[in-house]
Amino acid sequence: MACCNEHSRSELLRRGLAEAGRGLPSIEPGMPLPAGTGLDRRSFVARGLGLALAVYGGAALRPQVFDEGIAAAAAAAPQDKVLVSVFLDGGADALSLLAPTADPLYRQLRPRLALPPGAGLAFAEDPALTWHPSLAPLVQLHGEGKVSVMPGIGYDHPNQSHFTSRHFWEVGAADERLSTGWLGRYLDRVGKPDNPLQGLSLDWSLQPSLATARMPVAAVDAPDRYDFWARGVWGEVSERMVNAIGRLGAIPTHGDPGLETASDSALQSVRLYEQLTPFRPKDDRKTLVSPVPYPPGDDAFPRRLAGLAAMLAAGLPIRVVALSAPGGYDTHDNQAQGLAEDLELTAASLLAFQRDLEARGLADRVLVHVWTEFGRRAKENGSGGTDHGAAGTGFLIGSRVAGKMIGEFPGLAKLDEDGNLRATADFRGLYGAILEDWLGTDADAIIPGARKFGRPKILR
Amino acid sequence: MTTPRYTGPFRTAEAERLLWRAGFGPRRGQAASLARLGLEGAVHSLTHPPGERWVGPRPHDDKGHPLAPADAYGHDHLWWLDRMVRTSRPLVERMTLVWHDWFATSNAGVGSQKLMLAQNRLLRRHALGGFDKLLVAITANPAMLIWLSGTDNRKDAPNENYGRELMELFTLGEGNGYTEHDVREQARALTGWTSTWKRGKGQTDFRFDPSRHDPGTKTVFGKHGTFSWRDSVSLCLHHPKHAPFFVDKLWSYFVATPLDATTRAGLVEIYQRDFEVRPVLEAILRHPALYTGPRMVKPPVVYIAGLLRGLNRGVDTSAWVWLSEGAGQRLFYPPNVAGWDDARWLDTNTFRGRWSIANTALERVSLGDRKGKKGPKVPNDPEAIVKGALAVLGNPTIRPETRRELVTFARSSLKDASGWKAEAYPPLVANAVRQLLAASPDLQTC
Amino acid sequence: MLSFVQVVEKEFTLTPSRPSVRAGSVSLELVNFGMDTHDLVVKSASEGSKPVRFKQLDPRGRTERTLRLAPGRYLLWCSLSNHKARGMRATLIVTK
Repeated sequence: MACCNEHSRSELLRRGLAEAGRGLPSIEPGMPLPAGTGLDRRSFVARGLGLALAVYGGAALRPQVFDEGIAAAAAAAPQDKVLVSVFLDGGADALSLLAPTADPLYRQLRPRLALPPGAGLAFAEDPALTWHPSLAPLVQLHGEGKVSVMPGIGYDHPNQSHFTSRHFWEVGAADERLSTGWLGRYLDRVGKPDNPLQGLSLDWSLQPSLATARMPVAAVDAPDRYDFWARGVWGEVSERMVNAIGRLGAIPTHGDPGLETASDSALQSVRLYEQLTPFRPKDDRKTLVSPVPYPPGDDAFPRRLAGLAAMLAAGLPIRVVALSAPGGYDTHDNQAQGLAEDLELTAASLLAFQRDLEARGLADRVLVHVWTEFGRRAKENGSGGTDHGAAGTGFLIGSRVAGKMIGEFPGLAKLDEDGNLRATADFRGLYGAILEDWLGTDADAIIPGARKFGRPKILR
Repeated sequence: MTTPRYTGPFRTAEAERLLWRAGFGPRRGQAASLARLGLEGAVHSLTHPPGERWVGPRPHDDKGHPLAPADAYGHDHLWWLDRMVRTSRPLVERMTLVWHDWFATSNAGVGSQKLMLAQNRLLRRHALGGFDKLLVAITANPAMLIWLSGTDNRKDAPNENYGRELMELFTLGEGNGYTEHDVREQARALTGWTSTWKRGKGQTDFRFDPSRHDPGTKTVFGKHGTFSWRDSVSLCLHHPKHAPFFVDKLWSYFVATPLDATTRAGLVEIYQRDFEVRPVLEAILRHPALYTGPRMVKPPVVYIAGLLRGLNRGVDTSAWVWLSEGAGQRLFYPPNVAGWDDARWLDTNTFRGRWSIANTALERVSLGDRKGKKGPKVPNDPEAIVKGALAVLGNPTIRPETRRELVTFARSSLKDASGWKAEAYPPLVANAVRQLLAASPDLQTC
Repeated sequence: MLSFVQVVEKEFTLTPSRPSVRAGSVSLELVNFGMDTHDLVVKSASEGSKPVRFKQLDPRGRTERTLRLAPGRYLLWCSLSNHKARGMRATLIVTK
């Protein structure tokens, strides 16, 4: 199936790149350039210089300026709102996350995949809907009024290519050529040129929604693992050595762009190392100490959320964060088991994160947005799975959310001509609401055509 | 018309830069001996290399097994890295890397290390030869046919992938002298390539099948004809925008500053004689901008191969695969069809990747007691320690400020080392100096 | 002496990197270049031999096992769902 190959090949390229600790996600021929790829493919000369990045797009400022900028930003606005964007990669199946169990069409369309009767908790706002059993942690939060569900969010003329649809969500427009992320444009508008932590990609590479045109943003895979170790060096000599990296990076480069790039990256790295010192295990301390337990195991997702909570508590001036949830949601085959496991870890981690923020007194400042690039077809396929659809499910999580469904459940009786759920909310309207009501900025300046889209009430 | 020629001193430092730009850095003593040939002699020796002679120990993986580049994941990368380390024809090998980036094909899409290796051999065969011949060969190359859907392009169902990239990336530049109409017509001209799928063997028997080819008249760049795939290639080569595009792109692999109009005109003239790459390279490698211009960040595999060459060490661990990936370059897996071109080599994650590379390169020679055996004595002497670090890495040329900073680091680390520290610290400090040197901005660039 | 064979799996193909290999220690590596989960079963064509199962791999996954293979014909296939019927099978000849 062409679409399957597309996701895997592109994911392989993207992942190969991402795991390489490289800059930006990769593309395949014919696909839109992910936001932040912003590389002028005609200016070949720029190649040898790389680009000074901690810090994507952070122009030509020397990193000492970043250090002061971060301190100034932290001092200036410690109460700024934070948005955390969590991506379910692959197109999570809306009808599994919130299943219309009371509708007889449901079992007709999903003979193998339908939830067994009695499984899962009823959705409090509409008992005709049932939560996926793995989402029990979110049910708990929903009961406390801390979850707003978007049961059918998408856009008109849905695109079923992973790359293209994801790209639209990341850039905040149905525009294949747009090369900045919607959160990147927010930062370009309100950000500071010397604070690379204002946009944080908790990943090996830059999450495209954070791609800016001008302002610096940072990517850190794991704050607790960022250090510089060398064989045969330890103790205070090791500390001095890391400091010396910065000193070498601070040697004036006299306008040599190649040296400047190399020097800046060294300096940036040391700055980041220093900022992350509180989060680095020392000696016998193996993990970050959080006030609440997170799901155990190797997966990066709970670790990253725990690290984020700690960084916020330490007053680091982080404004927008982007990361991917664990697992893959492109469930063409064997959907039942894979989805259950991935959702379980995701939901449990998100619950722990919310509790962590509450324990640290940060809960009023943080809003979590969970999204996916599309939902899946109403009718299951022949391999125990589902294929690409249109409208999907999304969530807003936090102490300040309105706690009410945004857009009604689309229903199985009125599928679109491809047999997919119709969208009852537009992601661009949601972005507009997040930008205006949560982040306090002008949505029209960031989302093209923002006025055209209904803006839901998202906060209580 | 001749292109500008560097006339300044051609000493070890200049020869060193030439070896980094046109190869993978010097072996010990190689920069000095190349300098003795003078600029012309040096450039000539690189562009007219002798037959290949491998210098250094044969490669193996962590368990000592010889490499199986077609049959084991990562061995493909190690096999090529080894060539970069042991080659006596560095410019040939470096141009192979250039073509790998230029015609960026990823095994993620091909799924066969064997086919990728065959493409690699093709690129090497044409390393310094005619670009016209290379372009014809790559168009028919099985890995490329899979990667850019050449075998999916049929007269009843045209696929524009290769036709587009042929112009956009390989010969003209995005939107530079062609239209969407040309893309469609080129796709028609390129129809006919096919292969046979054999279960358990993959795609085999790549060939041109006239019955799948669209025989009609096509209009490309305003010209009419019953063009076939060779014509497709030829039309691109003879397009007036091709030669300037070609020299610009080739130049940018070797020189950091933009091509000036005079030099461009000179290079275009050389190139247009017969599409031979060697004379264009010679003009680039003797150009003042290469010697007097700013530095360039070394691509990750060049950095790694250069460290190994300077350390006199062979490829003896599979760690290089993921370490290179961590710095942003996994051979045979370029991130997209535009290659690593314009890639951002250095950010906080990849800097750390390079730090890890330096650590792995140096760990075999790390000083201090090991498993109960006493290591060589390290003098409690900052200057000697720095001198020793430079020697271990093949005596690279570094800035005086860098040297001063390293000495300062060594001095202040040793200053208060009394009692048990007096004995323990010197090897720690020496290891740290080596690591700092290997990861310094000086050694990240050339 | 160790020989290497890489088996590349995609939807719905299974392709060994070489058609034959010398008997003895063989490092058999499975790489999943597809977007589905796959596995690998290796069984000698001779009567009564036991199949060797490789663990299931998610897309981009890799796994390796070193096997001692006697000369003969070996069948390789993916045991999940209907993958074998859809084409994920191949033969590997082990020579003396």
